[in-house]
Amino acid sequence: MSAPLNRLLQHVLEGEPPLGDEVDAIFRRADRLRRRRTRTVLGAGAATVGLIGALGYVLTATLLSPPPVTITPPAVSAIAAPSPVLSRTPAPAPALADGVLAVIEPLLEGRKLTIVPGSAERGPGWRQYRVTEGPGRPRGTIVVAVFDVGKNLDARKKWCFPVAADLDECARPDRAHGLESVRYDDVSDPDRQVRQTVARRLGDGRVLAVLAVGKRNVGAQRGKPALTGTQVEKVATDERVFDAFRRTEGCDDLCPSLNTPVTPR
Amino acid sequence: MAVRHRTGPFGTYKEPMSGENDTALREFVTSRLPQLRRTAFLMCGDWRMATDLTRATLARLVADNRRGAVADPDVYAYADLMEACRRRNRRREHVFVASPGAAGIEAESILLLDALHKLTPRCRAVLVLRHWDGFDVDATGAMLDLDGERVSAYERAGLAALERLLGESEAAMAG
Repeated sequence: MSAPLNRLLQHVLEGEPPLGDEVDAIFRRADRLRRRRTRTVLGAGAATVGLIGALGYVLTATLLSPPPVTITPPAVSAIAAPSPVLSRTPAPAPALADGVLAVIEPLLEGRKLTIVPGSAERGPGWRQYRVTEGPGRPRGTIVVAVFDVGKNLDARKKWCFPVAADLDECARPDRAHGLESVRYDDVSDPDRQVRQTVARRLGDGRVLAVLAVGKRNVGAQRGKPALTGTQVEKVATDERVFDAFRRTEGCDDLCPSLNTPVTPR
Repeated sequence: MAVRHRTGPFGTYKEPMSGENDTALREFVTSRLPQLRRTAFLMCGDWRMATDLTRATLARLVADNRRGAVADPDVYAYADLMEACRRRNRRREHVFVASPGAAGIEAESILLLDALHKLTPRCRAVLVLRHWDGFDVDATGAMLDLDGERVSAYERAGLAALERLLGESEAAMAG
């Protein structure tokens, strides 16, 4: 039936319309198709590059982000054994800016002396630091205390620096730069020497005592304090140390013991 | 210019190869366009639609051949055209549309077109490719993505159905 069917189909196609310029139209359409495909490929490429970039950014930001911040409590030292000079166990010092330490530490630099980390102790009107030489060899204690000597005095009495040998007598202080001071060094015991200076600021009447006491029977420098007498005096007459204490602070009942006490009279 | 000569049902022609210039491609399009459009008309029954489908098929052939993506232009063109006719017929009811200005179609031609379009799309495609375009079984199978046995089966079924439909139509007209 192939030949008859072919002849029958030829009759069906007798009304075929003319072609015209179909060939040119086909090539123009092919050009449009190629441009459309090119745009599609370029668009897909740009989208892919953008997607890769975005994924890279997200992955990089995720993988390289710092770990969440964890707040660790400040290291709190164990309660130090009481110094022979002290009569009470003080509370550990909180991790606060310490204006007194800022004055003392530069004096220890270059002498292989260091404040024992975490040894700083403080209370109302006083600070205390333990000092070591080299790897853990004790060099005694430094105590700084401030006193408001005027609040318990009546108007007729006036506070004065005590004499070391007779606390009821008044000593004659050195005066310089608005400050009065008296040194109370005691080297009578070579195994436990004491350097102390008491200073009074004339502006507000507050009295500051700085004590450096050596550690008995420890090492070749046994008995020698970490600070010399001159250094102790320098700390006691430093305005920054006065300012390190609040105006309302004052050593009353819970003060560390001093070699030469500061008491209102 | 590298041109391969190929012998097909319509004679020998220069087969454009990948990367050739547009001259060989234009020659191929010019030689294939009328026959492809008639094939499209037998498949869809509308000269305007046949022209549009043929133009789209050949445009894709030109674009893909320029980028070297066409191995056999005949297989590509007829396979693409048959797929386009199949998709188009799926979307709309079949309506015979004469070309503008045509003097009229004989009743026998209408009966034949009607019988042809009562066949399944596969049967109709096989009959058109085998008995109108003159392709052998293997080429028809390559264009419709069928093996040789399936092509032969569709052909037998299509011819039998067409004979029956034409016999019923002639009996109706005689009665």
